[in-house]
Amino acid sequence: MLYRVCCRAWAPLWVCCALVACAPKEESNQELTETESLSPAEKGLERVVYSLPSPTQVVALLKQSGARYEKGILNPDAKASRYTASHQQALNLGVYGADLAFASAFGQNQDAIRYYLAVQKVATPLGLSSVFTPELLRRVEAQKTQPDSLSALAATVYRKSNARLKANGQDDIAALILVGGWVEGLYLATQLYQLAPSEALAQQIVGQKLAYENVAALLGEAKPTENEALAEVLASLKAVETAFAPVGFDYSLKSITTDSTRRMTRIDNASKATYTAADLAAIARATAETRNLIVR
Amino acid sequence: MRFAPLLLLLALFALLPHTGHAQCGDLAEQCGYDLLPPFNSDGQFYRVELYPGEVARLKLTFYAGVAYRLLPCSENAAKNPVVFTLYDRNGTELYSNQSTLDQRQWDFAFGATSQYTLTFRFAKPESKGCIAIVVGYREISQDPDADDELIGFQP
Repeated sequence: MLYRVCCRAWAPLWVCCALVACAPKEESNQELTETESLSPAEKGLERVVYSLPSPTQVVALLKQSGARYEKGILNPDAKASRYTASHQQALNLGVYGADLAFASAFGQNQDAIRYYLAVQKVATPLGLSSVFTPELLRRVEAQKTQPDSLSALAATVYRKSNARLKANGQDDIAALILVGGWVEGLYLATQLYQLAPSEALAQQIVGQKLAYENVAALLGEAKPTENEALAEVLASLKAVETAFAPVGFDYSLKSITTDSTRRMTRIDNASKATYTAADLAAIARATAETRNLIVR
Repeated sequence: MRFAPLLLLLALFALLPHTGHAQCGDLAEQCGYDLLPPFNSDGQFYRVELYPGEVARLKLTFYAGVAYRLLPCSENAAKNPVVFTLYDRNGTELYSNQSTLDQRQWDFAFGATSQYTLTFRFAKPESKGCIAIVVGYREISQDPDADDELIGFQP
């Protein structure tokens, strides 16, 4: 009798325990391909985490490359209310985050505030409303005369959104935001290059081939989608990959200098990209197609 | 009513897989506050829950003309610090904090924009728990009159 009661009353608990025991770990183990050079202690089980450069970082590099502010190439902030599906909101949160970073870096304060509000509009339905506190908006308005401070605030919004989503286990949404921001950063770079070509800007563009490897890996970890619009965006990224394919890098390591007092290490290495004007044009075309699918 | 404790217990068990996520996420968010100006966060939180013997590998792009600050965190960093090693795209070891585990953070500057790999693990390999890495960046000053120790390190 006691056995039967236990079995009946606790049966759901056993099922639950079994499910918990079978639940996937936070990050799934990945097949590794580049372990030969790792030390023996580091050849054990591995978990791979991929990173994409944040829009604030990419935009800072664009500015460093001599690019100028062009409002006309940004995604109009008025379109923010059009994005109703969560994948659209996530991708365009990345896009608007890059546009916010771009306006901030060039001291376009009114535009920066408009893009801050656009970011807030697409982020709120994703459960990120708590990131956009009234105090943060007050800081944006109070510091609108200081481009560096606005850029720091743009980075704060990005960081807090990423942290909140990952704490909630919404890694797939976090990945789409990263991809949206990366595509917009590359789009801005290619458009600026077409307006005013420079070797520094070209290097920034072809250098994104390295980041693309992580885009592909991030999307490879995402769940397969039955959403046609999202599948179309992801498929179009394949064309970006194809456009990057001819770009090569000639890498060399010269020296490594560590200053223990300053807790700093300088890696004196070089990486020369090989590409043609046709490669740059193909990257620009493929990127524009993907970006237009995201912001339509 | 008599099933209320059972339902509560079931709810707690159902939440178990998510507590790991939340704890790791909280750790990463807390670490972010330790990154001080002039460094900005790269906007992402890298965190992973490691089991005994495991190593995590983070693939990043670092840019020339930018200084980076790496700030590893764990739940009990004083007793069980994080060991990290940086490799270039050819797999050559560039730096390891194995001999400077008492240092909370380390800065880097690169001559080449390239893909790099950062591995990290607990100093005590039998440990398990969350590890987070915060990556900060700042532009290296282009002004030769500025007081920037990284001046002159342009490719």
